Amino acid sequence: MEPYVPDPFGCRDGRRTMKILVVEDEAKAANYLRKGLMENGFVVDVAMRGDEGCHQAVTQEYDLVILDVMLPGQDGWSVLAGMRRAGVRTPVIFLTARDSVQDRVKGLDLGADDYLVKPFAFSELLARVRSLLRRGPTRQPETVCVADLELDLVRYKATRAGERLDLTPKEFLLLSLLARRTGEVLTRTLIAEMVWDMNFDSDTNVVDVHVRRLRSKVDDPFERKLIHTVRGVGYVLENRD
Amino acid sequence: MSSKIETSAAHALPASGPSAFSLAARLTLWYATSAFALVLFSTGFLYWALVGMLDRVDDQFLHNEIHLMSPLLYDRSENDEALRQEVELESEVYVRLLDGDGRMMVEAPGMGNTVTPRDFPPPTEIDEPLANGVDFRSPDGRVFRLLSARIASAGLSTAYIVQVAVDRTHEVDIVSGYRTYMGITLACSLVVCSVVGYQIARRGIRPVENITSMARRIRSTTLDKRLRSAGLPMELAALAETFNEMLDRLEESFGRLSQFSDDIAHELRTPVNNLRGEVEVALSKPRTVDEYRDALGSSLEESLRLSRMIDGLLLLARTEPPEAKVVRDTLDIGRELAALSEYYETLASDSGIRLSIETPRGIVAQINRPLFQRAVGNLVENALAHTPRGGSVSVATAQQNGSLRVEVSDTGCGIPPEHLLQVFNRFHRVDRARSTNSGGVGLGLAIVKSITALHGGTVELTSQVGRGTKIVLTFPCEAPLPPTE
Repeated sequence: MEPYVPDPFGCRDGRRTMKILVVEDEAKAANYLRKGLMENGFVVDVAMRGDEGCHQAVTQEYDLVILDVMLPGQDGWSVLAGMRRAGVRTPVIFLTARDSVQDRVKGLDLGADDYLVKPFAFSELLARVRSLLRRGPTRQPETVCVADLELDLVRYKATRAGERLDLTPKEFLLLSLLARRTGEVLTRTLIAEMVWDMNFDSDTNVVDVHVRRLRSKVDDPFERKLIHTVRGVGYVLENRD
Repeated sequence: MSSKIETSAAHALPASGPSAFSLAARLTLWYATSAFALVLFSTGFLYWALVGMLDRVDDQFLHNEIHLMSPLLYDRSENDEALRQEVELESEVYVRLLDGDGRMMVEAPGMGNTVTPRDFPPPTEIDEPLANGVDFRSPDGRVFRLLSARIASAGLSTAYIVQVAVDRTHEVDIVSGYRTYMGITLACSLVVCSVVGYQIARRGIRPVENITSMARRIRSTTLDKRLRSAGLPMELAALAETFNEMLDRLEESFGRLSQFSDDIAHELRTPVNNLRGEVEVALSKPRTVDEYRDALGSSLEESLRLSRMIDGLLLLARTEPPEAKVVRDTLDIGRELAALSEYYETLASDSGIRLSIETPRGIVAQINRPLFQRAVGNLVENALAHTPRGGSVSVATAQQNGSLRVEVSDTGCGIPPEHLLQVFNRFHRVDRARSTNSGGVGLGLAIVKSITALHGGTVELTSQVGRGTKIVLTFPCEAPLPPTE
């Protein structure tokens, strides 16, 4: 097995490393964002003030800016406005504790590309970062393979070690979601949204029960387990040693 | 994940334009003006009546005098002396007799110095109604009332003109004195009306001032105070009552708010305490990687619980204000419930509960989709959590009278009657220990109620301990028409 090399695009095509600017005044938040993003293969710069952030975003080249709204010096809105005025078209993700429709609309009007409300799951941020950096539409592959698991996304057929898995449509959808984003931790909220189109956080363990069902068909009969629980976050499908 | 809800800014009551006068000033002005107008009118009328009466009396006197003169003229030769006597001896009145051509024949002594023949108005014929006299001020300052008449009839050889003047200086003095007093009276009454009017106005609005000062003393900390309506005039008592009712509502909302903050603090305490304790213990001595991982995982779980609680509270904060608006989607209820069923089916069968959904085809309603999912989802989750193995949970919908009925019933443990009213309050739990462990944050039903209310619907709950619970949500199918402005 080759050692794990972080791959922010989900594809190893040897492109240069992506550079992200994090503008966040709260030291703890800035710290975990830097740590988390670096561990996922990004180069991260942090600015603790709005004016500094704007200066850096304009003078240096970044692939993405993560921008807090409440900042000393200059707030997030005006940092973004300043960037856009200076002709910087770098994609921007807003982070904010203020979750109102007006705020969202304001951010998107100013040219923000995405909007995340605190508190958010880091894996959610990561997913959004990746989808913003993935340039152009990704072509849906016809088949996905992880270890000895094979999914035929056209014929809705799943096999493991050559054996056909008997899955319900939703189970197949869940498995293909996990398999297509192998190595990426998917939160329960995201899974509920993507598979069942349920747009709310449930207090119960509904998703866990579904994953347990799926595991009983995909993993239980086999030695090597592919679906792993990441405690407190969600699930990841990957081939671990 | 966006549950498109907007809260429109609260509208301030429209303020009427700035008033230039205080209420007291206005009332004073009205009182003073009307009282003064009354005094002015009555004194003016009396003056007019007095002057008119004096004029009439004098005119009558002049008429009499002329009529007294006319018989004497008929047989002038015999009566010449009588006529002269009549003219000259008359003490209260000047009489002058002219012939038809205006030549003076007889006049009272001294009359020529005071009232000349030219001072008289043109004469009227004696057999016509005589005109009113005219006033004339003589050079010596006396005032006379003058009247002249022409006497010409068949029995007379020539026409005569009789000029009569009566001295009314005395009357004019009386009238002018009357005018002076009237002026003084009016000036005094103006002052008195203003002062009295102001006093009356002050008296009248004193209760209003009392209410104002009482109301001014009420602060958010003294919301239990009320205005005393006893002893207030009826209209103001009603005002005070209204004010007190407003205070009741304010007190209740404030009470709820502070109870609510209290609840939040309590509810936050548990997960924060867990988080803190767990991390503290984990850091207190070196541990294995697995132990650290476990502690971190557990901390993450507590944080998630906190996040969910905050999300729920925010949702409530945004759906509960009466001015909150909702973006509605056109929902195929059958399809939505089928999706919910698919989502919860596995959980239900794992818990040995039969989950059934019955819905006729083709029900369509205007409801915000994520919020509808959340409301029904919360009810189903609740039902599943409180129904023992072997029980059943059923969701049924029906469309009736233009509204959508969603009924979620279970064969669970039921809710004791004493909790029935409170289960929709935030953080209310029938069984504290149990629900806390199952990960709920006690907001589920509050959210259901709030979502339903946001759509203009209602929630009904019936429950029997040991037999089960039934909750019915009623949504109006059509979005209510926006109020016409």
